[in-house]
Amino acid sequence: MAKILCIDDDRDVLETCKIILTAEKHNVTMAMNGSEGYSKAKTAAPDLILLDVMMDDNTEGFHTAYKLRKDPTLKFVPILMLTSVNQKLNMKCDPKKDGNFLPVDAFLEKPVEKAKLLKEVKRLLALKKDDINIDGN
Amino acid sequence: MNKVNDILNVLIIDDEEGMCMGASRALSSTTVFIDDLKIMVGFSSKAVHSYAEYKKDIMDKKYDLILLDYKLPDGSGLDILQEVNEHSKETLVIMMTAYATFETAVQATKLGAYDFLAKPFTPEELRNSVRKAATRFVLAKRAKSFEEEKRKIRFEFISVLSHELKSPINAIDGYLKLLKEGSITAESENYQMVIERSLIRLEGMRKLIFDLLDMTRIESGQKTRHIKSINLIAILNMLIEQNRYEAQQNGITINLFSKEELSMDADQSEIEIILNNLINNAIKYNKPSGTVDITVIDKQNQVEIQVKDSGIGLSRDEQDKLFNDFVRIKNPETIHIQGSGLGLSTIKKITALYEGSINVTSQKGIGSTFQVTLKKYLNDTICPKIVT
Repeated sequence: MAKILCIDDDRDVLETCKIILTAEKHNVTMAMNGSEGYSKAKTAAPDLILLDVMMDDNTEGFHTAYKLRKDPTLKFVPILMLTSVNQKLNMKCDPKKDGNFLPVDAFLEKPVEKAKLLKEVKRLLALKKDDINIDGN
Repeated sequence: MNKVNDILNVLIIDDEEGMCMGASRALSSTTVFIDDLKIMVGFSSKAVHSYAEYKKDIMDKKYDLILLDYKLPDGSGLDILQEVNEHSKETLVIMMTAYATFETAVQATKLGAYDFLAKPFTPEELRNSVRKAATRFVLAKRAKSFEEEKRKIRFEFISVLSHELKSPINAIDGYLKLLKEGSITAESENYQMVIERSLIRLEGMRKLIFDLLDMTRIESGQKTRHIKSINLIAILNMLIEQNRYEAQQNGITINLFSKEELSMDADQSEIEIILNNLINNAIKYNKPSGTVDITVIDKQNQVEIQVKDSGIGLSRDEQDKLFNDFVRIKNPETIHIQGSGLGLSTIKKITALYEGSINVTSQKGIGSTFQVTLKKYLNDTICPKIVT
């Protein structure tokens, strides 16, 4: 069982993730924007953060990722970035390639699928401190 | 001398050095004022003396205007003319020739020459021709960039629109898959919530599609407008009744302050879009047990409609962007409210058809007042009356 923080401005994406993750006995905290997510991360000390890319101004998720990585108490928390970027701009996100500029550990396409989400969550929770992509490299 | 806003690049192609120098000198002291755009255009010129030299020069450069001699030592000016028109359509070519015959002029024009100067010509004749070409060039360029801007806006609109439609699809898709996989069953505590939320997202999509139809109908201008005398107050009363149920659910009272009747010339469906959006917003963004006060003020040529709510209010920043397409104010207080972000931008477009305006005054936490002003009787030349 892990503490997982989900940050997304779409309430229903949050609810869906919560249902999937609580069924696996994880403890889920939800936040609806970047600043709420950051302050909840400070208090909840999550083991994993699910972070939406778009949110309010299309880059809020990116900024939140950078902010989390700058915080000494949060920088080693793995981040799974949720995207619907390829639906919007016909772009595919790849942690190997896009991790070069985004300090996140994996990408997951929306709509969120249970099997894929659980697989990524399991993999990321097992990551060691040294494997976390803290500076986008 | 007035300030020059734009410099056009001119290439002079002529084997006579004297001609090149003369043309260059004439151009360096020439400016053109483009009246439509209120800008001053000047010229920068370069000369080449043969077809070969032209080919070498054109490799890495592009010119706005070309002054082209008909007869070159190593080729015909007409070949260059043809090449320019194939590869650089926006470049305008002025042909210059000493062998001015009607046939050569026709041939050059057929190949796309913009103008024709018969040698010998005076510097003033050259300037006149160049001024004409420059005006045409600058206006064509501006029209093209305007078209590109329009295409860009359209693309952005469609990208945002598709995102707005995909979000609810993703949400419902997620819930349905949970039901399909058995992660949620009729016994689960979330069962009702999942179904309720799916229905709410569907309703949001439906609203977006209706608002989008309203907006395209207004924007395309293709819809026949049925302008006739209407009683604004009767329409208001009808719309208040339609919104009454939603208001009562949240304990919201709607008050109308107006006289019994107020007639104006308008298309009823357009007025309904304005008023319904305003009333509906005032209910949606209100507080429980709040009020919606609608005041109609009859001015001489105008009517002013104020819709005041006791709701959550808007910050200055939120007010500034409120009337743009797809703008939704997102904060913890609005996150549960469904809206397409098209209602107010559509109202703004309609008010323009009535030579009117929409404004908002608001205080965070206290409430907002939307004020719409419409002209009661429209000038025939601006808005033709179509009586059905």
